[in-house]
Amino acid sequence: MEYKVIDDSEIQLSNTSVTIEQLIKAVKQTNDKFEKIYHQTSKMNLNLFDVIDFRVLSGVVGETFVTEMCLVNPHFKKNPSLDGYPDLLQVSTPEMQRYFETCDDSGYIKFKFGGLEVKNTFGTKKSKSFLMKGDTRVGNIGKKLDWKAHHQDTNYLVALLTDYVDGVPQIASLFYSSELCVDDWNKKQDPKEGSAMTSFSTIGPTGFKKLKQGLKICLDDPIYIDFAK
Amino acid sequence: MSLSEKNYLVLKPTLDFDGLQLDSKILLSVVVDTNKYIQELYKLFDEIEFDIFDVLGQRNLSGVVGEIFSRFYCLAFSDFVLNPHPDGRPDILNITVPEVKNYFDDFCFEINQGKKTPVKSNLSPFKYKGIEVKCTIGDKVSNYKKKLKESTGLDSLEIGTPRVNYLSSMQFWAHHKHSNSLLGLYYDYYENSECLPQILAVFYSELVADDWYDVSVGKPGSKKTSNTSLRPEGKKKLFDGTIISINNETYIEKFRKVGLAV
Repeated sequence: MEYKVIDDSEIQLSNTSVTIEQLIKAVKQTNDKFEKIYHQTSKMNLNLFDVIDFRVLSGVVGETFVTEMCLVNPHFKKNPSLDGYPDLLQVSTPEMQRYFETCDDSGYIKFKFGGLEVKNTFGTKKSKSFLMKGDTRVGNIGKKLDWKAHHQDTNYLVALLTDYVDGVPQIASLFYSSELCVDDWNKKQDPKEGSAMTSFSTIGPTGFKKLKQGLKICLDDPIYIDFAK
Repeated sequence: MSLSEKNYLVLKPTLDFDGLQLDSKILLSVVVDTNKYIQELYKLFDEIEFDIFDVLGQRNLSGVVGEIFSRFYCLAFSDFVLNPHPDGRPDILNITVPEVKNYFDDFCFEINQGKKTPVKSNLSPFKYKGIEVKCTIGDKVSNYKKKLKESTGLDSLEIGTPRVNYLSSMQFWAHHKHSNSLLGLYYDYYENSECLPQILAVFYSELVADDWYDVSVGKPGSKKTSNTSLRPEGKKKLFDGTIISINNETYIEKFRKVGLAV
């Protein structure tokens, strides 16, 4: 599948940058992995994507993209802490590299040299629309995408939209903003009694606008381009 | 090494559920199939340089092992079907009785926009009986970090590190306090199977609501979800119902300490 480049400017961090070619490469490599998983596990009588919980799968897409980004651009390391922030740590100078290698777990919680946070969504199902696991979702999801975070400090956000294409999860669009602030996130919601959800904050209207304006690439298909623009 | 039926002890000949006597040997074949699938999955992901278990993380792995088991269970016991709703409970529905099968076929699905979709209100919960499957790797002893450092040099238990030597107890968690038929699975990163997650014990019991603690709600700001866990009397019922155990001295000794009837 090919991508249409909407904005080819580089992502700039304090000491490194990410080119549009690198982003596309990481996205395509992520997609390739999901395609292989789909075909191989289907041969084993159990398609893995039928097994993995939807929320988990959304996280797995983000994690895989993070792993691929580190392969594509060696100036990043995956945050080794489960609760760490951000996901992709900037290690582009010897000083950053040294700190990454020697800091203890607390150093990864809010990595002092920053980096990129990655969030994925499959979109929120429109009310009265019916979607099963594996169904293509575009057309049946709301226009406002709800990337979720555990806190409102998230900035430098690579926001992914994933959809099922022929039953396989594939990244459909990649958005980016380096201008998010606390007010761009909705007030944190705590779980209701009996709910299985964790506490989270959803991107608010102003944050969503910033990300939408930062659309970088999109599947070269009118239905996805119309949706993402 | 691939675990086969001969690596296990069958401690009870049947799993007695709602008047049915399910053959433990078939249950064991489900365990073996699940373990094989996990091994194949690892090989497949390894070929594409992707550590599936690491990416899933400990938080999600137990659920995925339970899901795989549930699917192979329904392939082996044809009177059972997976709850078709993602939020449905119990996980596995018994549709042996015609009345239940008719209810399942006629009231648990609806056609929406040309698609057959599950009806949440009739599947969560399902009004007839079924089996809930829960999977655990167990709880660690309080001084595990010190013990681990001394014996392996590692600072923390990672995905792929066998935990049996640090196992203190097994707990099962749920989002609701209610009576149910609970099939508990214990797994570990089994050293003789390339340290891959493998189911090593299966237990089963009918539980009542009072076998669970009251539901605790996650504190504001915490990532923790609201949940409940088994009271000691609930655990005893479950562990007394141990049906399958790996035939390995280290594990058997630890299972006995934890309270499993092995």
